Amino acid sequence: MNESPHSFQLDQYILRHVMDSHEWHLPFLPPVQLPTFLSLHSLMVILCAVILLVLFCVFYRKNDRVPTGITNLLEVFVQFVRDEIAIPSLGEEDGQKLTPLFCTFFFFILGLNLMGQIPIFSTATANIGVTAPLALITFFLMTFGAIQKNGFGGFLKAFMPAGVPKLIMPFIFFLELLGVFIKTFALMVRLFANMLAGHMVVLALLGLVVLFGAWALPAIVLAVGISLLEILVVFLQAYIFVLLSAVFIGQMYHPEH
Amino acid sequence: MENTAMEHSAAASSGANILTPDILMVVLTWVTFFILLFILQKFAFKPIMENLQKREKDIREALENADKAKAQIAEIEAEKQRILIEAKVQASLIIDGARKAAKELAADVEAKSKQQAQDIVKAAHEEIIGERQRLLKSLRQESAEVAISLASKIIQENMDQDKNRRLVQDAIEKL
Repeated sequence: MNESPHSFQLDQYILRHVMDSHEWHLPFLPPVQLPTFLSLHSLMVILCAVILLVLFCVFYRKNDRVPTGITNLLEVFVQFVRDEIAIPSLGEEDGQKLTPLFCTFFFFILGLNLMGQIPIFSTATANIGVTAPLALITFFLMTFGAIQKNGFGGFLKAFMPAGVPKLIMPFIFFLELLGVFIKTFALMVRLFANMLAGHMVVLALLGLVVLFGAWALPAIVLAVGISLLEILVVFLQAYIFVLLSAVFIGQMYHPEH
Repeated sequence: MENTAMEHSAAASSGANILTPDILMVVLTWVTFFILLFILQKFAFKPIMENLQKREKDIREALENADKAKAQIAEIEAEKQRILIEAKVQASLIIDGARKAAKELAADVEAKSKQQAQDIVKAAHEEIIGERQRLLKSLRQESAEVAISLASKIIQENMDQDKNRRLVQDAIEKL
């Protein structure tokens, strides 16, 4: 069969596009070689931070009495994170306090996700090396943040739900403790896998055209459809990451609820 | 075949790499994230949240003020209506009073003029009577004098004028 070497090339093609590398492919230009200390995804992370800083420090007009344009758009997101995510999950006081963190989470993840949708950039959130530290920040707040807030005794109480018979309490305690790690792991994998899978599907569909030629041209329509779905997923995953972080931290901060 | 197997293993190792976080990447993400958090918290999110709170407060106050203004307008409207009604009542009272006063004045004027007319008529009447009396008296006197002169002419008797006059006076008084 002639197809088998092609299919292997397709595997490589997909992996090359989704994996981190030290080459930046720009249209109509030779690939830019990045230094060893700076991978493509690292560059995307730094670029995203720079874009966010410019967006908030240059384009956001603090003194507008009636906000319009970008100022209005950014305020809508900040207000959404504060009123729909932070305060309902953590209460008024902690919600207000942690809103900047959740906003940074939201805009950082959304920025990286959106950059992944633009062909000249790469999806840094499809790298577990990016999602893991973000999920670990949530983990630190769930553990050390909760210890700082409720004391060590209060922190342990979060693993012992009220009304559980004493006999099975050690089992429940163990499960709840395990839950903290599982939640963090799920947070990390969810974002990473969603962003990776979307790109893999699009690349696989486009790869069909390379493999089967003109017969597979309708796959482009599917790829466009998946790309449109990806735009929804980009926002959804940023929202889900922040929402679940807030809910998990809220559960540890206020175990009685 | 060998080539294919090598590519397989390469793909498998790439797949494994995908699931292994690179420590440099982790550190870089943390550093970037915390720098971003620090700067945005200070220069963006806190001012945004303050702005949002201020705007919420402003809107709440503006709405309250609007409600207050509405209530004041309603109050003023009620006051206006009350003043209007009062003014109408007072105006009708004034008109009624004026009408009554005018009627009274008219009646008074009428009564006075009637009285004056009566007085004039009475005076005229009295004057007429007096004049008549005076005329009658003078007529009588004239008549007596005419009668005397006629009688003296008739009887040809030369009588003293004073005696005649006395006779005439007596005759008038007897009348």
